[in-house]
Amino acid sequence: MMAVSPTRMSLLRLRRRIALARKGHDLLREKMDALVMEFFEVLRRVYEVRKEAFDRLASAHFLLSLCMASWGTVETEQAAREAAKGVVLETSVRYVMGVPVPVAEVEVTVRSPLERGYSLLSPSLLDRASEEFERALKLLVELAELEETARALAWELERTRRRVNALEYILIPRLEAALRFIAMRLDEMEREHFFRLKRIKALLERRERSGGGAEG
Amino acid sequence: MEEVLKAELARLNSPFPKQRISLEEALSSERPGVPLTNGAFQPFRREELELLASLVPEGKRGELRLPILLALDPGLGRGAVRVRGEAESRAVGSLLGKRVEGGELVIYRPELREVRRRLPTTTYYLFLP
Repeated sequence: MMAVSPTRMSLLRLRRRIALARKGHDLLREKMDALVMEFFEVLRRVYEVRKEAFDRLASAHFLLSLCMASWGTVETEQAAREAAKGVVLETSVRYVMGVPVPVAEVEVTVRSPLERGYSLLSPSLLDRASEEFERALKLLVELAELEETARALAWELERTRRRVNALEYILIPRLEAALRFIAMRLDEMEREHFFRLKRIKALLERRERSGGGAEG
Repeated sequence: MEEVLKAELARLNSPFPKQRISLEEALSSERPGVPLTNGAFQPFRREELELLASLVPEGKRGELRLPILLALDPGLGRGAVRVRGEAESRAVGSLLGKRVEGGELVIYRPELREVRRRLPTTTYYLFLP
């Protein structure tokens, strides 16, 4: 139990501390609930986007393999080297309950065959494969954003959960035990005081009686 | 422990938007968003602004202030959230298919999940002590 002096002042101070701890506990629990909700929502999106991205990549690789088989590996690799590279990616940070999470946006990922920069004599299979890869790129950027968001939220959730548990299982019970101890001690002191007063009153009455008897 | 608690409570609403802008301003801005108290910038996604624009009549777009504040008030009970402001509560109400009376709307956890799912950047949590 906490070391406290059993005075009325300490009692009042403890009551204030308990009220603050309870308020903090309620607010942090609200935050924890909201974080859990956000976290599971992000996880759901991670699952969806990952599945979609992997499906697109599988389809892109299949089309690329077909292109290599029909047009030739060397020609396909040459077209890949000729293709224009570089994507404009805008990144920023947004806050979810004080937790910084990334925001990544790609302006345009799907380009026209002319913008890609390789020979226009290439087969349509290469265009289809490129398009699938470009679509997958947007999803991969979104996936990276979501996974980083999930990591940041999980860390904050763990931290908040520790605080809520410390309040619920350590601080509040300790403060309440100290409050009970002080209240009990003050009651005891009051009873002692009352008993003392009764004894004094009885003593005074006895003295008065014995004094009156001597006079009479 | 109590020092930690006090710091934690002070941190609950930090960083917070320094100002709120109308939906009209956000729609016409090249880089929609608001500055935060820590100097950072909270960007709004264009798709969310368009969704809000479809929910609010054109004449009322100047009244809807962004980000929409979702006030978590333990006094209302666990998981209840208050949305204040007539335009804001009407927008959230029409997103959820709920009728709004007066300038306030109280929503609960499943509805909050739906709001956050559809408006992650244009809504902001506010913890009320």
